[in-house]
Amino acid sequence: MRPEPLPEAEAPLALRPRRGTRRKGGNGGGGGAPGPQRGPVAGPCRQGKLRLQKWYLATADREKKKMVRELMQVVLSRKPKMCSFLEWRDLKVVYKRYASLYFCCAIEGQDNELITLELIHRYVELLDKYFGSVCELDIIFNFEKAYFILDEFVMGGEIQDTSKKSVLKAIEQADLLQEEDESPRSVLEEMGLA
Amino acid sequence: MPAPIRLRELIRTIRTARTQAEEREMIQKECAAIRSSFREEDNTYRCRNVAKLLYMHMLGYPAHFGQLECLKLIASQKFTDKRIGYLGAMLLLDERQDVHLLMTNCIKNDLNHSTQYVQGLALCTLGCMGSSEMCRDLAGEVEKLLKTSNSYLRKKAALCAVHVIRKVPELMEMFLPATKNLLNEKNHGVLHTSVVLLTEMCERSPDMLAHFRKVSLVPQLVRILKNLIMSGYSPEHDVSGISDPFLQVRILRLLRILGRNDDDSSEAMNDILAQVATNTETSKNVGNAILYETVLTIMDIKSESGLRVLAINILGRFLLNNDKNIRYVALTSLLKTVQTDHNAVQRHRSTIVDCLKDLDVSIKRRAMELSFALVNGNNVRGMMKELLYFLDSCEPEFKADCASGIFLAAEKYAPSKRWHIDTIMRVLTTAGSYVRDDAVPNLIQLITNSVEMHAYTVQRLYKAILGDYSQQPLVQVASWCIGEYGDLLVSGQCEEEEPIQVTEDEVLDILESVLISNMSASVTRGYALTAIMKLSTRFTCTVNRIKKVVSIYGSSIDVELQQRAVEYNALFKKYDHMRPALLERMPVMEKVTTNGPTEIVQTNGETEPAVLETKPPPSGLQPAIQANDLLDLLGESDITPVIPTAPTSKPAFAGGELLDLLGDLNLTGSPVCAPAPQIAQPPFLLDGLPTQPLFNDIAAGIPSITAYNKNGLKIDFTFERSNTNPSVTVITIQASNSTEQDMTDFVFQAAVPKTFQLQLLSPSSSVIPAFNSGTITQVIKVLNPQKQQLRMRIKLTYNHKGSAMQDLAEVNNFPPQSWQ
Repeated sequence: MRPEPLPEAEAPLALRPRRGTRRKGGNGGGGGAPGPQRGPVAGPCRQGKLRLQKWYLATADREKKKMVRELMQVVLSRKPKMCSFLEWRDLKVVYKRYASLYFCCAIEGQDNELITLELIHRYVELLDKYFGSVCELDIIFNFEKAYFILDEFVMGGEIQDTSKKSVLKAIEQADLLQEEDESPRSVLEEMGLA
Repeated sequence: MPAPIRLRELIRTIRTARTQAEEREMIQKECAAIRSSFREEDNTYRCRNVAKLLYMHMLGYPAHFGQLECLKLIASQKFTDKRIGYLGAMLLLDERQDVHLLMTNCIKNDLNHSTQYVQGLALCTLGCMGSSEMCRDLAGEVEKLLKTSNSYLRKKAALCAVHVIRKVPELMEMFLPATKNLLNEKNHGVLHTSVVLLTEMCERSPDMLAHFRKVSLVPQLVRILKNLIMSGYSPEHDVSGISDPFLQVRILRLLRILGRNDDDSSEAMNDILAQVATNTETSKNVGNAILYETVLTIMDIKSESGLRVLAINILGRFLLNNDKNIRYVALTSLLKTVQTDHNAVQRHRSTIVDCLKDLDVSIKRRAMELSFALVNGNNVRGMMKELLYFLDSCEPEFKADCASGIFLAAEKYAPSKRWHIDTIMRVLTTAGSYVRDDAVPNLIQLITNSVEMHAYTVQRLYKAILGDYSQQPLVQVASWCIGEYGDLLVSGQCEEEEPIQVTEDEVLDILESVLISNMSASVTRGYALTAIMKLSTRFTCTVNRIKKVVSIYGSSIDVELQQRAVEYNALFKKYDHMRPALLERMPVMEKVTTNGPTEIVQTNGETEPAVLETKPPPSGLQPAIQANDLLDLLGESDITPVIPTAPTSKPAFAGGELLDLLGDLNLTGSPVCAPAPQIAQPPFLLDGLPTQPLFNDIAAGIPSITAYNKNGLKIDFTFERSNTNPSVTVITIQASNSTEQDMTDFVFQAAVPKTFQLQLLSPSSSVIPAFNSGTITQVIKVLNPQKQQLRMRIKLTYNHKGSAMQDLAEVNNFPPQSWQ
């Protein structure tokens, strides 16, 4: 049996949707690597890989997978000249490409698409500041950190804090807490009291 | 047991896999290791293992066996554990799994933790995926945190409260006291989330909305917004020179809700809206985002006209922006406002039409919809030219909608019959295969009614299908016309253009080609055969040929064709004396418009009344109104929805105790909702055809009455009497709503005295939109064999402004013509 070669293309990230009756996580499809390999089952769309996804509405796993696949296909088939908004099911999807990653966000009818673009940009800026010139590998190997940052920036589909500094500071402090956890004795040892 | 491998290690390893199978193998091996580690209840490495599980879950592999482990991590004292545990809970658990409820206690404890970051984790998890049970249990804790002075927690509590309210709306009240001081904060995080909370409350509850209007929320918001705009550079919140655009947008949105339908509030925000609209920098996306929100707000509240014009002009400028995203939102917004501010939008018509040539599909679609909305009597020629050009070059997914839109617009605004026919021809030849099936009967009716254009039309249609007869709707219309007006074609009577020379045989050639062709659908073949048959009375030299063709198809495999052929054959053989009368020219069809969509009923001139139906309806009933989706496309809001006739519609029998249930009316089995046109026909044709009740098209006959008019709900009755059965009165009720809120779940019930019988058909909908912007129609049939005075008791139930309403009334003012 011929083994299916793994697709080379990258994947990106998931983003969240806004409020309302149906919110779903966004996810990204990837593209951008030079000549992604296709499997023998070559479909018209390049296989994207999910790097992050956040859902704000309880959805069954199978349904989530289906939606992700669908959305990835739709987003990946967009040409570079097209606008960043598309209609999908009964939602609006806002997406933006940063290097090899697509960041997508599904929002509702009454939400402002343009400010959502700013939201996506703010998140990328946060990642950039945190990782120092973030690249895709950072997100792959530190996916849990990417989630922590997202959860500090957005809750239930809404922005928690509009100040970059404030969000980054909170993450920093939480990271410190984590470090203290891992070496709880170091303080005492340092004081020579251990 | 060696220490489980680290997360990074695992990721690296998995990424080296070269095939899907290899990856699967690695994952399975690791999962097995993790599983045994879990079984050993290993506290040290649980966190690491769950993290790895989450990674594998993200790749698409099942990870449900880690759910309980997440709970254990959450319960741990270590921050690292909690962090991963909560993340795992958010990724792996949701309210569908019962297991999630076990989290509630942990979250409760963590909400009261001494470390704010732990509290933050708990709030975040609750605010992202808390189920209604969890929300109920923990709402009190959240409310407490909403009142804390710690802004880090306060902002999170606010968003958590939003989630709680969404899940359990009844709990909204308990958060009200805490909202009093929320906007006095300096911290932008708290401000932003508070505005979100207030927005959620106002959107969900009209009482809350009224409350916040009363406590002067609007001036407060205006002040905050003003400070944002006027304040100098604030590095912490600056985005491309604009101070906290996210907060600005949220405030504008809340203002929108507060100002909607409220004069005082709208008045209070006029100035600030004008200020934002004129002072915001538009060079970057952020500025435009704010302007966009401002425009949306201006259009939605009761703003003064100057402000509205300002808003539309902003949208006009957006249309010229290089950024396609901006163009896209402009088109979307204009589409929403084109009904109310039609003239203002007209000014930007040429820019909108240019957008038809955009490369982006979404922009094209919106530009098309908007263009149709802007067509009027003055610009129809120019607009049609552009739209026809668009039809030529656009993607297939647009063609059907575009064609339908063109037909509708042409019908409404055609400057001349010839132009109309030409436009139709152009659409049929350009996008003939995308034209909706239901457009065909409409077109045929249109052509029939343009009596002086018959010769021209049939000639053009003939020429069109000579070269190419693959586009079904075109061929159908052409066949029909050739069948009807073939005599005009061969006699070369065309006035509008150079008449062509064509012989009867040539005409029959083309029709026969259609019959034989593989490309012709069954329906098309039906059209062609009938056309050939009709020509037997219009042509003189080729009757024998026609007879031959007809008899061949008597043994066609296609049952529909076979039936027709056999019947036509019978016409030739046994009923030849009837043939001329039967195949006479069609009379002009009366178009009965009930505010837009048309229903054509044709029962004469054909042995089979179903000829015009492209899809013969299963039970022989009339086709459902077809133009509704066209109207939706154009966003017409003043169209009354016509009652849909479901072929198997069971007439609604509402409220058994009120009505005398009607078993079997003395009408025919087929319910007819719209009155059929008057048709003059030789009486014998009706014998043997399924009887359909024919009604007088009245308006002059029986005056309509207002049966009920209270609390903004008005119900009018219009009457029709049957020609064939004088005891039957058909009442069409129209319910309209002049209040500012929609009436939903509207149910109309009626009862009549014992000597009457009543049949209630299905209503057109159950929602009466506010401001008289639409109505519900419903048909009642009353059988009154004893010709007694008609009296009726009606019962209305509906939901309005959040409460259930009910009323009983007697209708006694029926005009005598309706029952005598």
